[in-house]
Amino acid sequence: MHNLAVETIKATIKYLIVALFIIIVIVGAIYLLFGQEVNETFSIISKVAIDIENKKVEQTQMSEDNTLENYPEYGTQYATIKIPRINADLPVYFGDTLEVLKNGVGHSSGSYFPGEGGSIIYMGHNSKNMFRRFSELQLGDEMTVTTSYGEYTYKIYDMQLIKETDVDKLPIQKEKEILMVYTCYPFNNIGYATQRYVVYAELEE
Amino acid sequence: MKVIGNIIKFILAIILAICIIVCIGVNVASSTILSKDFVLQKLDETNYYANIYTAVESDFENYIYQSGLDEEVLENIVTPEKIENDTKVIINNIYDGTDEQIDITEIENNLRTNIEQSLNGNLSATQKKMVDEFINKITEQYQDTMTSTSYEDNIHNLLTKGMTIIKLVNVASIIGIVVFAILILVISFRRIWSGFMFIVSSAIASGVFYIFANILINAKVRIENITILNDAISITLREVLTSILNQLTTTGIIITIVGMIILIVFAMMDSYHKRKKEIEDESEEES
Repeated sequence: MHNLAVETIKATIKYLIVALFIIIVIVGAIYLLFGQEVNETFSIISKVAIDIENKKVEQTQMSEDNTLENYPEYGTQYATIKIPRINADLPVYFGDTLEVLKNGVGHSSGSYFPGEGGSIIYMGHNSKNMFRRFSELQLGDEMTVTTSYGEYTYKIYDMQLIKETDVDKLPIQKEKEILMVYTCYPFNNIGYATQRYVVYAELEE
Repeated sequence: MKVIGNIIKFILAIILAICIIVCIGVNVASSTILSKDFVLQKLDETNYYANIYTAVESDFENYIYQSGLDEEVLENIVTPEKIENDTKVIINNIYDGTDEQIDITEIENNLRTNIEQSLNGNLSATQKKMVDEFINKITEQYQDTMTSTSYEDNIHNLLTKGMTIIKLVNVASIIGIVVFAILILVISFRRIWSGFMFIVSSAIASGVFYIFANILINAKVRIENITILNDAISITLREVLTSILNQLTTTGIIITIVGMIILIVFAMMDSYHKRKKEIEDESEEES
């Protein structure tokens, strides 16, 4: 009886080893014949399997030489803008895609951040909840941008109607901190608007 | 001679294992991604219709903000019920080869009424033209979001070809399993239990192969993070892929466990018969 059990165990192990060798041969053959294709497939799938949890929104901070440390991640909210004259209190997102503008005010990624001492370009739709009432703004009105690293108040000194192609009317410079906020014009337009209503404001000391 | 016999059996066992792997894979594919009922069930389970409704509304909003019109003009232009019906039209086009088009008249009419009410009906000729263009954009966007592809016919043709190939492969793999199993038994006719154990080893190998494949895929890809086109499609795709992997792994685990139990039984039978033969040989020598 004891011998029978030993023989059974031996045979079982022997054929499990056979199974193991079969797997090794098959996996080896797949790797040799289709290894590249398998890796490419995994690579393609990995590109659409974004690890959302690992996307950390870093806390943006201002250094002593007026440059930002840890710029906000593209598409994330980093500030709010208040314009008391038109009762606007809106979130500001870093980025200017349609997806971003759907959520609030967009910050043109080529421009400076509040506090950095240069041109800051914000934009928003001319919808009812955003900048539809831009025409009510007057020279001297204030706009306040509140970020995680400070609060900045700007005074409006100019307002202009420009064409969408007039990029020189939105100059990027670093001599003076200017906030330029624009929206589409006419405010009650139907369809795609080719004009922009720009409000220019300078940082109050 | 015994060594050569074992090598041949080993080679046949490898081919048999490949046939079993293919057979399992093909059957899982037939009952999942290639099955219209399975896809419809997954759409229901993942709340696809409600999610695609949200995606459609979100895409509309992209246009409304640019248009200068009030957001209210988009209210009630499309209902979740219409979205469900249109989704089923697309599924039928893909799986059954029907050529039904999504009806956009209802959306057009609702949107036009809302815009006219919003603008108090005072529209100039230019504004009317602009409204027409806007309505066209919105309906195009609806069709784009709903279908996510303009190649329904191509997908249907591919699916039909795929189904035919899969049926042939399924039959071929089943024939392969029977033929190679018989061959192994024929070669092992002197020790038939050994032949059976080679066959079971092939089955165990194919089961372990799928368990191993599942571990590898989960290590390489975070299926729960797959994001394509919009949330509705992404969530459903993740659920479909997880279901397929689960089916393959469950089949693999069952085959492995059942295979090991059978292997132990066959090993006992083999040992018993070997022992019995030895006793018979000994008694013959004694006599």
